[in-house]
Amino acid sequence: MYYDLNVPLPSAAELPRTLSFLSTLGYTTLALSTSLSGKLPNQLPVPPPLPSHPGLSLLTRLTLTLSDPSANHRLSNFTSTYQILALRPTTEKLFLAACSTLECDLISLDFSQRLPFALKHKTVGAALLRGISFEVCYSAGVADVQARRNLISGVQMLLRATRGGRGIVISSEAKNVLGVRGPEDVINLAVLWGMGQEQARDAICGRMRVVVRQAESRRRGYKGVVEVVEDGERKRKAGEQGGGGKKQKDGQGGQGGEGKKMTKAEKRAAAQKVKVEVKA
Amino acid sequence: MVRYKARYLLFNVLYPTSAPDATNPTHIDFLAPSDSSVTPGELATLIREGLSHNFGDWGAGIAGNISVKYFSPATSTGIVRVSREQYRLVWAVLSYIGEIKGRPCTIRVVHVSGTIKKAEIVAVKRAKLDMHLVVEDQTRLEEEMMMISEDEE
Repeated sequence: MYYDLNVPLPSAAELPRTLSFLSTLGYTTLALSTSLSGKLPNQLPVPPPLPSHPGLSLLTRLTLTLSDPSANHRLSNFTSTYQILALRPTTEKLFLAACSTLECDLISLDFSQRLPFALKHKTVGAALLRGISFEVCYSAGVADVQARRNLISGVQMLLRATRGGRGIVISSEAKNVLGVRGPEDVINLAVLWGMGQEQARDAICGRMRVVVRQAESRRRGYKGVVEVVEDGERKRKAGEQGGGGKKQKDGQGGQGGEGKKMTKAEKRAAAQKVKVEVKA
Repeated sequence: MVRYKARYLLFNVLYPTSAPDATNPTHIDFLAPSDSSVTPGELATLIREGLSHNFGDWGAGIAGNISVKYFSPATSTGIVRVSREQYRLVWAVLSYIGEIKGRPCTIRVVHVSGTIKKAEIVAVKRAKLDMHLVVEDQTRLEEEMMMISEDEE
């Protein structure tokens, strides 16, 4: 189970090749990413129709490059159109906003250039408490030497700010098929960048699963905590779910504003949901 | 005196841009044969160059004691022997290789083992698996063709 949650949407002609190659390398879940930068449009581009490919599950993802603080309040309209929402802040102020208030699943910093601001543990920690992960994209560093240097120094900064690499995920952001590497190869590279082996594996596997799960519950669930599972008609789980598949708004701890409780509750909800789905 | 300990990296050279007209390429298309002029010696030179490019004189010195034990252009599979302490450096160099003799490629390490025998066993196993997949693809294709021709009748 390896994830690559940042595959820039290839052209229609390149799509089968890209999917097939990533599947050959051993990835099982891919997110096809649409990028937006500059001014936020009034209407979001519609997510592309997802092709089906044996052995792969595909998601849609939107990467928003934030450069204008005044448009932040409109972000909340966009959060549910795509399955995964990643933010790419360009200034320290926007980074702070993304870490502490803006609703998103991933904060994807552009490590191919030198970061214009320093990563502080306080800011990064706030995002981690809210359950947001930090994304490192390795593809720019595969071909370009300068990008490679920046990438490694960026990862070092992130490792220091997260106090040992919690909540880091690694994905490719490969413009073409030549930029992707196999999951084990990526883990090896991450070890050379300074991550531990288990941590590196987690960054491409375990933590990714958390990201996908949380994104799903954020999108579909109520306050990211309670989700309506449509199997009320069969009354299989009538006892546990409090009768029927009606929307339940009395989530455990969902109203609390504290980030820590929120993430724990979210994790619990996600775990519960997995159980429910396994049974179903 | 402690014995010199080695790691054997079993790697595949993949050609993601081969089969340009394939509408639905399978993984066999990416495992295309390499040019028959690619020899183990040349690969070793390529890796040494990569070491000094990526890790400087230090890298070339500390991990430069490598030898490519085996490379088969037909299956694009090879085994490289490196010192146990520095196998990650050589692995990274393999990951950073983007082309061989001007042909764009990706190198993927599929197995790391402590003895060359195990590496060989895995290589044979994987080759067999690939062969089965080809045969399966072939039979599936044939079945589909049969279905189509039956439909036409």
